[in-house]
Amino acid sequence: MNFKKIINGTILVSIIFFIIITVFLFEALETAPPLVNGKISPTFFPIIVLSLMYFADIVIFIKGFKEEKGFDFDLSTLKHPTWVVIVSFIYINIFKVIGFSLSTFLYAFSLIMIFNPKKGKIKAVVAALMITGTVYLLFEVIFGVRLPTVHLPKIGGIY
Amino acid sequence: MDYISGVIQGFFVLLNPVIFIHLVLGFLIGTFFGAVPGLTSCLAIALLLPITYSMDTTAALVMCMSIFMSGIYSGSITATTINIPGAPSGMMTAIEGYPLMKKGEGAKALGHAAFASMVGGAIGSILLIIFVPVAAQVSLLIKTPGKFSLIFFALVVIILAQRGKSFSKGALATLFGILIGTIGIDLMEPVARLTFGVTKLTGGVQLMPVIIGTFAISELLLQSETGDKKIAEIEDESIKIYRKDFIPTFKEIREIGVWKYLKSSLIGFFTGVLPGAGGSMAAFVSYAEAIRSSKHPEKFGGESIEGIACAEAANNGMCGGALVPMLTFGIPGDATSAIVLGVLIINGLNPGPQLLENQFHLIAPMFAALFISAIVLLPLTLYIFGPYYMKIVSINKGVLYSSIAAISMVGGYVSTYSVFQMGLTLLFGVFAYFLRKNNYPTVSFLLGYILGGMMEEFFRRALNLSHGNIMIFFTEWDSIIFLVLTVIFMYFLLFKKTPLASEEVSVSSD
Repeated sequence: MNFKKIINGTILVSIIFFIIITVFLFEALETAPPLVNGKISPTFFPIIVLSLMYFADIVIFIKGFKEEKGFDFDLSTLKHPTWVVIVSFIYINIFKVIGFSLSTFLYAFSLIMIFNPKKGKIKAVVAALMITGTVYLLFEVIFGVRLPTVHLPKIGGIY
Repeated sequence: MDYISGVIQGFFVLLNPVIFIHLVLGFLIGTFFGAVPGLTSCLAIALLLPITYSMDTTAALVMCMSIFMSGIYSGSITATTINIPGAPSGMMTAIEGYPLMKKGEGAKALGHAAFASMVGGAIGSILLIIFVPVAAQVSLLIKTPGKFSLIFFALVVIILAQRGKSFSKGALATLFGILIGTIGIDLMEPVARLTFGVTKLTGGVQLMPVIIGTFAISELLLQSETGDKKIAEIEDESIKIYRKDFIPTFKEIREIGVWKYLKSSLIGFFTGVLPGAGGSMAAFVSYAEAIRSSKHPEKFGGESIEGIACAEAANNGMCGGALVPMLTFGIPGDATSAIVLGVLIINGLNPGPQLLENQFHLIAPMFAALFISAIVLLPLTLYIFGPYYMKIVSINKGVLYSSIAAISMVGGYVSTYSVFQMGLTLLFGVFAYFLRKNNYPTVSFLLGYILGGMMEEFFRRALNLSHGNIMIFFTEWDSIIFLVLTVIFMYFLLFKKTPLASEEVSVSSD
């Protein structure tokens, strides 16, 4: 069976929402039932919201079947956003480890290369340095926000 | 009398050089973000949000106001010069402005857009000053069940106002926003909900990652799909804009008519009061009314200065209107005022009558900033920077969005000095990206998240008062009024074909 021919974007997203709603519902029910000794519990309101979400999601799902079938979503458009997400994920993980300056420089450089792969490396380095400097100036210098600094590994008592 | 002197003092606060610099800086940032397609004033304030932690509250609020006003107006710049509205509220202006640009009358179109925005913005600000104390008095009359019904009414209108994006999708996005708002410790009992065992979620999902993720990161991901070098291409670079042509003639203004400016501003203001409506809705309704009542309807759709004036007066008039429910009831009129509400909350200010009574010295400069932005800065910046506006779109996209990404990510970090918040920022960004790709309104998601907590609080308090009897919502007069209003709005927006309910109107990111 070719799934691409029987589903479309609307159906796919409604299925993803269905999974999310179900996971949240299980978590809510695991915390407490909606009513305890006839009184409403902390999960009462979230469970009402989740029930309404099921209803809205089913309506979207049914509407999706009435729409034109065929998954015509061009996966190649996801190439750059995927790279942006990967680079951002790495940035988050190295932000405190190698400090703000180096991590932000690498992040900005990577993003510039994702947006403009043909841009000259020197120009990209200069732009990344300027972005890092601007963000540092804005947060640390002007508004006094303490940003993480480099934490070099301690080897034999010497940094 | 105290109120009036408070408002006057608000104007004097702007004379402080530091505050004034923030006002002008905010205006220029708003102009840039409003003019560049893809960037909005909403995004500008979202990026400003983490910085407000360390800023003086008055300066932060003044800056937000000037960004709001200029961001809405400057959507008309690229709408006229390159036929791409910088902000969704500039859609109607593009229909009339770009043909005039091609005829060599671009400066005239920009001048009329600025003049109408100035009039609309100023009238909206005056109405804001008049209506806020009235609305604050009204809010005192609303009791707990009524407050729940008011939020319910607001959320339903927000969903209905996004009809271009389908009612069920709007409802699902809003409900998901409410659900995210319920994560963390319960309001009334010390029980952690929906945390999946993650201790860092016990305190709930912070405002910052939701706002920055929804507006900044999702935009970054959308823009990365097409890695073009420039924001947009200028079709005809030979077109020149001269300063002298910006000033509308008295004859042209008289032809449009004072009443048209006033009516459009009023339409904008009252559309702004409606939750979720926003600038594009205001511009559309006003434009439709302008066609209906015009002596020259045949000119619309190509070269009508009247069309530009009515749309622009309305979308800037909306700014004042959107702040009325936000300041008095804590219910934002649009996405931008929702983020301004975030700035208030971050600074420990809770909207409502108490805010106006006890901290009016912080709110009055906001009113003054909105008015001065409209009446002084708007025409002044057009005259100074107008001839260079066409160059805005020539900026390198990679550098621009890399800067936005870095500010967004670091902004996510500074709220709690935690990389966990940065992770949430990215997560909400990816989530909002898929919502936008599939035509789900992200503004509904945000407003659901912001209002959901209050909605639950009033719902449970009301049930506690009535010992669990749900009929309390149908027996208290204030609650009944809002429930009846909900039914009326549903009838008109869902079943009756009105300009407000038009499928053509998309107010997603306004």
